[in-house]
Amino acid sequence: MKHEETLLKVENLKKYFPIKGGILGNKTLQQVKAVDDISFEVKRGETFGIVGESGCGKSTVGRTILRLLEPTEGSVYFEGTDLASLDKNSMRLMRKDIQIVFQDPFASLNPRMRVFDIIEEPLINFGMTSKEEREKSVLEVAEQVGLTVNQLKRLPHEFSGGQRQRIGIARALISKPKLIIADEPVSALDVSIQSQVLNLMRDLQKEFGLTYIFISHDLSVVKHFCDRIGVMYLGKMVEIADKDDLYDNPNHPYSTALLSALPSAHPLQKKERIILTGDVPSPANPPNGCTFHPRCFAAMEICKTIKPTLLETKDNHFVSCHLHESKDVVNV
Amino acid sequence: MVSKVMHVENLQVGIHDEDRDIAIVNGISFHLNKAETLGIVGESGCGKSMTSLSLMGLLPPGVVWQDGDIQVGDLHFKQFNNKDWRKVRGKKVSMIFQEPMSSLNPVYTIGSQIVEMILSHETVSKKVAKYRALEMLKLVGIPRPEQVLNDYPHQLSGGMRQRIMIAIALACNPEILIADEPTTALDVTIQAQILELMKSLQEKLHMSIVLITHDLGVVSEMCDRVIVMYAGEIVEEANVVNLFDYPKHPYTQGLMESLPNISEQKEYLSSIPGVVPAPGSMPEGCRFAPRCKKAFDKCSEKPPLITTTDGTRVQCWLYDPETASEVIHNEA
Repeated sequence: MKHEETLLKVENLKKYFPIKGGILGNKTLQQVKAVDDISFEVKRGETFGIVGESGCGKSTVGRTILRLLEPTEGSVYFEGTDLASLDKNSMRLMRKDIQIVFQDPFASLNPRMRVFDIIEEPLINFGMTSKEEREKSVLEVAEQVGLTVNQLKRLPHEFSGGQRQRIGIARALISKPKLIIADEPVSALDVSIQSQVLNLMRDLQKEFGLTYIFISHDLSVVKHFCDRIGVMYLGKMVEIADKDDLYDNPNHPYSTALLSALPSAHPLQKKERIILTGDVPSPANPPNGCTFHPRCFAAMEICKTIKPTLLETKDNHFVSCHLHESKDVVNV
Repeated sequence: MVSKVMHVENLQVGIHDEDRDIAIVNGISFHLNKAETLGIVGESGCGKSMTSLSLMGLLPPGVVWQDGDIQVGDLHFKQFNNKDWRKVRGKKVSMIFQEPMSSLNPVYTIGSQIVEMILSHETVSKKVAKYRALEMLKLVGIPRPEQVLNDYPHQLSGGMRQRIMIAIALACNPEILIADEPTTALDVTIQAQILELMKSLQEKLHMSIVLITHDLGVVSEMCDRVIVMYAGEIVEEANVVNLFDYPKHPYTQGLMESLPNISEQKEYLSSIPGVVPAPGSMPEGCRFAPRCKKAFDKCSEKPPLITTTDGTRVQCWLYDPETASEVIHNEA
C-alpha cells in the first residue's frame, strides 16, 4: 500500500533542556540537546517508526509534537497548521486529532477513576455535552478494544498490563483522532500479550484509517509493525528509510550495528556481529562532528570535526553520514 | 560423561495465606550440568525469579520454602540456616540481578564492594584483595580500571555497572552463576556486549550458568538447555535446538509464534488468548488448559512430565502414548 499525502511534517525540531546552576539557580550552565534539529514527514495512513536506544530522544520527539513539552525551535505542521505557533487553547482542541498512548500502563491511568470515566474524559474535554452520546461512544470504543461492559465499572488496579494498555488505547481512540503517537506501547508487556495489543492496533488502523507514530526500542517489533522507520542517535535522526530497505540494506554504521546486535532468532544461526564499544555519550556534552564517531567502526578524519547532514541517498532513503556523502562526490 | 553440579528436587516455594499454602513454585525438579548454560524462560509471574532466589536462599519475607531440596555437591540447601547460606553465597553459587542501578551500594566505592566480597570468603590481606579486585575489573573489560576502583556506582553507565556486578559475582570463582534477567534493563548494543562477555568468561572459568530471562532471543544466543515455566511449573525441558525447531508444549509453541520475526513478514502475529492465572486461583489439572487451543477432556487431570523420543521432557497429555491414541481414535 502506498501512502502519498503528508499528514504531519516536522521541520528542524529542537528541544533543549537547560541545566540550571549558579548561586540563585537561575543561570543556564549547559543545555541537554534531547532533540537536535530533526525533520521528517509522516504520510496519511502509514505507520512511522522511531527506534533508538534509551536517552536518544525518541520519546521527547513524540511529546514535543503534541506540545506536552514546548519545542525550543522548529515547526510541526499537521495538515498544514503549524502546531508550534498555536495558542494553548487551540492546541488543546488540536489534540482531538492527535492522541498519545503511553508506555507504562500502570502509571498512565488515574488509579482513582473508573475505567468508564477514564475513557469518557476526553469527550468532556473536547466539548461533547450530551451524556447519552458520550455513553454511547464509550461503549462503542470499549467494544472495539475488547473491554466488556462490566469491566468499565472497575478501577485500573483490577486489570492486567495488557488490559490496561487496551484502556489507554480506548482513551486515545475515543476522540476519533487522525494520528496516534504510541510511545513504547508494548514494551512493558509479555510477548504473548504484546502480540494481542499489536494485532488490536493493526485492526484499529484498518478500520479507522489511523496514522501511527510508533516509538520503540525493540527492532523486531518495529520491523513487524511499521512501514517507514527513522533511526535516532543522541537527539538526531541518522537514517530514515522504508523498513525493508532499512533492514536489508542499512546505510548508517549505527543502524548496521544496531541490527547486528539483535539476538539471533535460532540457536544454530550464527550472526556476524558488530559489537559497538563504549556507551552512548551524554547528550549534555555530545562529541564534536558526527556524534556517533567515537563508537563508529568506519569513522574517518572528517567525522571528528564536521557534522554530517541528512541527505537522500536514493529514493526515500535518507542518511546522515559522511561515508555516503563522499560516495556522491566520487560519483560526480 | 557430564557431571552434574546441582540438583533441584521437587522444589516448592510459596506464601501462607489464611490457613492454606499457596505455591508460587509448584514442585519443580531439574539439574544443572558442569559448564553448561541452562535457560529458564517464562512470562512475568511464572515463578522463574522465585526459583532463582531460592537457589541463593534469598526468598523475600513472607515467602517460604515449603518442600523439596536443592543439592550442590554434598550440601543440602534445605537444612541451611543463615550462617550456612552466607558461606555458600558468592563462593559456590553467585548471582547477578536485573537492575544494575539498584543492586550496587551507592555509598561505597566499586573497589571496596569487590574487596568486601573477597574478604568475606577468603583469608587474604586487604592488599591482595585489592589487587584481585583490579584483576577482576580488567577481566570484565572495564576501561581505566585503576580509576574505576575508586569510583562510585553513580559515576558509571548501566552497561558498566552490570560489568561490575559480574566482577563482584565472579570474584571468588563460584561454580554456579545465576543471572536473573541480566540484560533486560540494557539497550541492545550494550546487551550484545554483556552477553559476549558472559560467554567468554564461561569459557575461561568453566562455571555453570543459570540464565533467567523472558527473551527467547537471549535464550537462542546463550543457552545449551532450556526450561520453560508456566504458572509455577516446568512445562517443557529441552536442548536449545530442539526447543526452537520442535517446540512441544502448546504454551511453548504459542510463545514462539507470538514473537515478531525479523526475517519474515506477517500481517498479524498469533497470540495466546487470556492471561496467566493468579497464584491461589490456579485451574485444576493442567494449568495452561484454559488458554490452550488443543485442550481436551483429559486436561482436567494434571499431566505428568513425559520424556519424548528426542529427549525433551514435556508436561502435556498430548505426548502420553495412551492418551494420544485415544484422542486420535476419537477424532477419527
